[in-house]
Amino acid sequence: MAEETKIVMLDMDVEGISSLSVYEKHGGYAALKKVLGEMTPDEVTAEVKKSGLRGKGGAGFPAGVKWGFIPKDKGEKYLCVNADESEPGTFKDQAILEKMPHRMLEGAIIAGYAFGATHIFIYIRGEFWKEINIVQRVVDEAYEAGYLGKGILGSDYSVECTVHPGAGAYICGEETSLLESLEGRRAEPKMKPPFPAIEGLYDKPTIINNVETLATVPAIIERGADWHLSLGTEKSPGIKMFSVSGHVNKPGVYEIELGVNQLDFIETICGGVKGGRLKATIPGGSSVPVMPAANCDCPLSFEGLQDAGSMLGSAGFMVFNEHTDMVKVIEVISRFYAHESCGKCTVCREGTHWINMIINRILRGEGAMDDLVTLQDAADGMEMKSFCPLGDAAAWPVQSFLKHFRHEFIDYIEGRKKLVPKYEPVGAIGHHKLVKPAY
Amino acid sequence: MCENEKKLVKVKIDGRDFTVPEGLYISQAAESVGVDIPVFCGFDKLKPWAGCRICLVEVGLPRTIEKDGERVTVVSKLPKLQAACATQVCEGMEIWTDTELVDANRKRVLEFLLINHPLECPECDKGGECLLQDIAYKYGLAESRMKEPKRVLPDADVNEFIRLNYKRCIHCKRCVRFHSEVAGDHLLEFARRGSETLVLPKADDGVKSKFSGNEVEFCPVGALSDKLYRFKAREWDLGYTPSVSLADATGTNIMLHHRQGRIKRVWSRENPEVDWGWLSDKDRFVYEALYSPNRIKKPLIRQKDGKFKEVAWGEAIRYVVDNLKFYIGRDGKESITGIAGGNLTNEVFAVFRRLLTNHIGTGRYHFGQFIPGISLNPGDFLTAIMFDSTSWEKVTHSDVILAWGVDLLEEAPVLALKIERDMENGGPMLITANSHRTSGERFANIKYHYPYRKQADALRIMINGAAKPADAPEEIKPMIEYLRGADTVAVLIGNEMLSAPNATELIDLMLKLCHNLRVKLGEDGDAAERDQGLTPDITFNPIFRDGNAVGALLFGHLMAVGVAHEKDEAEGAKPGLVRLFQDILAGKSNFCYVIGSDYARNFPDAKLTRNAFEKCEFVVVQDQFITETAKYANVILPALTAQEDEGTVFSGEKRLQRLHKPDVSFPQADSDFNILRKVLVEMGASLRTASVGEYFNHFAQGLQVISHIDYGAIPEDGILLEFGEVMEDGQSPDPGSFITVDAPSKLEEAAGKDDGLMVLIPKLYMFNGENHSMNAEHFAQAVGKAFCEISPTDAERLGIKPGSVVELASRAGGIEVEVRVSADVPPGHVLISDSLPGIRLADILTLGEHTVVNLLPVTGSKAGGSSSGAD
Repeated sequence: MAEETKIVMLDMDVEGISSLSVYEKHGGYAALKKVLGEMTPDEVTAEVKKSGLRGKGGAGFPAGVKWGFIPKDKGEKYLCVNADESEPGTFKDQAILEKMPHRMLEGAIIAGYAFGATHIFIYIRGEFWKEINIVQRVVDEAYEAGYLGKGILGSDYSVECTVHPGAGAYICGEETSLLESLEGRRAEPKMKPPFPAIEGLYDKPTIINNVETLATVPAIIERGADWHLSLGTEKSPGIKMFSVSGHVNKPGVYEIELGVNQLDFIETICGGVKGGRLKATIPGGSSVPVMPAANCDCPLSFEGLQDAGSMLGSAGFMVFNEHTDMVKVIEVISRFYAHESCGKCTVCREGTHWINMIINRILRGEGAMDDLVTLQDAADGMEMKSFCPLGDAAAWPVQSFLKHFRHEFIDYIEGRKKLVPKYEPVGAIGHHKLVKPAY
Repeated sequence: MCENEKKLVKVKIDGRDFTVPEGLYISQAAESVGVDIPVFCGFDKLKPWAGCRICLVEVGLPRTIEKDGERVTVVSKLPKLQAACATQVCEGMEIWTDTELVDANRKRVLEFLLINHPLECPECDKGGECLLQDIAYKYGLAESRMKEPKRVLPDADVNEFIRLNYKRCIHCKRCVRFHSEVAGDHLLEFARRGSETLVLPKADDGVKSKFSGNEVEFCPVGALSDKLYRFKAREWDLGYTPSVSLADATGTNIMLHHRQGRIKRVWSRENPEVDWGWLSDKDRFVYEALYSPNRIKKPLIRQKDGKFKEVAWGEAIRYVVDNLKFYIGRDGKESITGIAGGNLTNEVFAVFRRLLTNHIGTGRYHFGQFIPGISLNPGDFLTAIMFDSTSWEKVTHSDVILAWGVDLLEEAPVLALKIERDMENGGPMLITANSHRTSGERFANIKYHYPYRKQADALRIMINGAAKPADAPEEIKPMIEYLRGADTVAVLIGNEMLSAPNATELIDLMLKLCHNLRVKLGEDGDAAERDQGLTPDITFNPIFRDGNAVGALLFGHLMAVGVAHEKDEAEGAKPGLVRLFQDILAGKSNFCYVIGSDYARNFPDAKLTRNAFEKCEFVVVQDQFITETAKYANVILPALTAQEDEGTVFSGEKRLQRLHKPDVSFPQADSDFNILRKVLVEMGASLRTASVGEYFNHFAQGLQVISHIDYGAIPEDGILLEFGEVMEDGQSPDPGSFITVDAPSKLEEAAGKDDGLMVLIPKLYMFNGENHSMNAEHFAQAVGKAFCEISPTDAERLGIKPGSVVELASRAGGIEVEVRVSADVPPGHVLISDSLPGIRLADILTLGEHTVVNLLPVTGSKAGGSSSGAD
């Protein structure tokens, strides 16, 4: 029987926990006090490195290792909190920003202390207007209480903090694009090297960490690396927040130990599949490959999902029941990527748009069998060839839908299935008025 | 690029071993050994961007592993394909460009690019020289699998010169990157995203670029096209002739593309030491003037009724020579006056001088730009140009560049780009000193501003500051510190000094400053002893406004100094331009031969020149247009421009460059060289040389620095002249001791405070209203209306609205012009182009002193109204 393991989400239901006084009452900022009082920056980095904490934004890069890349010399260094959560199906950072912003901020200050950040930038998705206001208030509170600013809590560590609203593009979640956007330019991924840890924001060493990653840090400091290692699996230690949506009885955000069985997770924690049997899941946000029900009996961990043909990603967990039209699902997903491609590289700019147009044509009943070859070629042409990983993110769903649900495409092509228009989607792509959405 | 570029590394490309310089990008390395990797966005002169993805190759990196107890190096392939345009080669790297994976990617990328690209190569200007076309032939699919409608957007204008066809754009971003990385003006920007991404021209937002033409050249498809060239010719029908631009003194190398006897377009001809392959829009587009309907097609003779009549060449030349002989006979050979502009070839200067001095025997002549007062004492200035000026390459590699009274971006745009590029790569520090905020100071490390009329005092303070840094006033201390700390300083001076009423005084002061910088500072703050090592290397380059200004000086002054000295000993020196006109007015000269200059329009005392030409009994004008001066002519001879002819020029860095004769013609117009030769023959001279080349070789023999050069052997990239004496043991000559001058302690400008008078700053702009600019249709559009600029303070004080028309009234006269408000202009000053389109600024200029004007609001007048003094 799977159970929730609340670490980041601990006390999240307490009334007023987003305010400093309540957060402090529930043990808030104890970790920061411990760090500033007892630990050297190197010890903090070592502890986090030892804990095996992996980035929770999608790529899963070990956080402590990343901090270790920062040059040791003095000078301006920046920490950017990546709160540009815009992966379809993922809403865990939004929950933290809204309900537990102090835990994220505490983690950010500890991380900043660990590698000597002089300024923390919190880059929050532009659409999160409510959260931007909450975080700004939280930062003001922290300044007032002496957790930010000069000489934090009487120590000789000083750090400033700025909250910055995002520029409304999915690409801003990619770290180099985020930095470009933060500097006031058009968000486009930049060439690496130089890596941000060497030459990042304003050409200064910069670390970019996800909200959830930083919110996990205080618990690791308080309870120790060994405790964190004791949770989860060997390759995926610790816990992870899953944003559960789709055909389940209890959608929401759940924090579990990594390695919990997927079917078990759906049955017990998510309250079971709603409206029929399970058809498929997308376990890591819209960009990871879809998993048909037959493959779903696997552990929810980095390696477990990879072995089963998908990825943990940002853990945007979407569940589809047996009545779901998978061609419509991929149309929505491909429309998202066509709309959000930044336009820098050929394969993603043209590929995402073309794929969406072909899927729409198939849905309209005007498809042909060779369109499936074209779809496959277009997706293969994007995978691993785009400039940034978002090209892969746009290709994997198409490839996996074609692989697992090919017959549903063929149903449309051969006329066994007809589109029943229900509604006009909002924000159809194409200022050129080329694409008429199929429904 | 990598620092130790010279280091070589071993790489393997497609199984073959090569040795290439470290730090090259894979695509460059492959190209250097003859392996073809297609690229679109990759462009050597821009930073790598890796957006188009066509250049992806498989890359393996060497790794050392333990195998059977031995350390062996194996090459392991990277899991992803790598962008060849953005990945640098390293020792042991292995590259595969012909694998199935690479080939599949090229096909796919090309398919992606072509799904929206229109199949209109037969009507596209780029057809035949299109990168996409070439690569599509190699890797493209025969048929499109795109069943959807293509992306369509109507064409847009980028600016006056460029048209943007959205359908053809492949989003390589070269143009956008060029305008942000190189030109720095952001004329084009990417807008929107994904498949809607488009190149957005920002000209409507007031963004102006001086370099927009370059994007047509490097656009890999036909998205950006040159409006002057559209539908005019095909690449394979063009003839190509190397030439040199005379739009400014940079000496940018150009390639004339011509067909059926006409120049169709001007492209760059990369000379890494001069222009790095960039051209300014003036270099590129001003050729359109050659085909202006205003161009003179046949020789013209003024009739008794005052109207011009077209005549045959023979008649015109006879008419000129008959009159020439008459005036020599009547007033003496000394009475003949010759005036030539600065955009002629050396051969024209030489043959003109030969006509004037040898065959006529007069000392009354002036070649090139008018520098007030310079003919009174040209010695020091000419010596400095000959011995202290240096190459652009050396200027950009100095420790510090002091740009005084020059707006580099306006006066030498391509040189400015070259300097800025080297500054970006850790090159020189730039100090600018001007009377107002200039566009060229955008990247300057120190921006110094002096009151326009106090330029001489500002220089005096600098001279004393260089001698005694400790006593220098606070505001110049940082400058002195930079200049003192540098081993090499390149001093550039420009129009604000060369055209100032007190130009000679200013030049003299600047040379004193150079002298003081050359003297090493001792520990006690005085001049150091001789044996303390080499002196700082201070170079001195004037940025002239004409393309062959150095040639004009060389043939007009340098060789004349001695001659004139003998001839005019009683009168001191060779008469200057002002004296020439005054003498004509006094009746001392009644025959004036003018080639390629228009002093009736742009001499800073227009009344003097116009009255002089009016008074002069016989005026010959040799030009392309009916200029203001030509209106006073008795004979107008239609001449070809230097570009249409052959010859040599000296650019501002003393680079001898050759213009080749393109296969073009213009009805009955003849080259300046030929016309002058015809005059000589008619005068009965026996000529030993027939061609321009032979004539060059002939006069080169008499000029030591170029005596070793053969006309036919002048290389495409020119020859840098070295006048400097090489000192033995690498020692520089002893600079001596410091010069000190009387200098005020503070600079104050009183104008505009109470009397309402404002100081006029005439400025040289690239988009100016000179004859050639205004006759080039598209360029004239870019020049726009005449305007002047005043500071917001003055606008408020005088109650003048931006865009309204004011009369600028000086004691010489008045003109009406639109006024704009700009914070770049210091209060109490009026900034104005020294060559206004359609208006003669010379009407209000006062010779010999700074012009002060009254700003009088004009009611009910049209904007950009005409000159009140014009006829």
